[in-house]
Amino acid sequence: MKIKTYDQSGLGKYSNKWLALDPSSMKVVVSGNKVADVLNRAKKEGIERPVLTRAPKNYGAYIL
Amino acid sequence: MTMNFRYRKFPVDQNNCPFPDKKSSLRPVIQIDFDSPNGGLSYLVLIDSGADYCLFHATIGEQLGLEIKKGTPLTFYGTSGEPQKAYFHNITFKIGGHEHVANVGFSYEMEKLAYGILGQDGFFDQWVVKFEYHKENVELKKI
Repeated sequence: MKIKTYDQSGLGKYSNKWLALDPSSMKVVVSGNKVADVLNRAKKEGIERPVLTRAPKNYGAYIL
Repeated sequence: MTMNFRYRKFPVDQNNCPFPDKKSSLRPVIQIDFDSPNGGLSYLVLIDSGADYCLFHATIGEQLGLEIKKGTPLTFYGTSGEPQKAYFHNITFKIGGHEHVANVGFSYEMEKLAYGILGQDGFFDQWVVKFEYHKENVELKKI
């Protein structure tokens, strides 16, 4: 089975926002400050099951 | 049952990176899926072998209909050493279409993080995880 690799390095242009992504393309459909608002607007755009993620203030390095 | 997921590429801050040629960071981030009273949603999570527990953003839990602060509390520490609070709830979600039940902490103090975290208890105790950075692949095998 061929598995897609998603290049999401373009998310760096968003800062301190919640993002709803299209599950097929993984492109940003809507962004906003509140999860509920982003989710509702994505569904109005016709995305039944959006993929939620956050764009932190600075998309920096992670050492967890 | 074995499943494979691709690593994903995420941005780096060019003004805060010790490697001038580095354009992105590869991370073992996968999608998980929830069915909730408010409709279905998916969420990106980092497979993090250094985390003791699974932790998700509290606002995601609210969307799932959870009363976050009624969960079992935990004070946890990241690399900064600052204490942070999470509230644990037993929840169900899907990984690659397969149902997964785990006790997950929900925290209001994760806004600096892009993803939820899948840690030792609640994830690594249920899956054999094979990280293959050179192949940009992570393999999950159900225990």
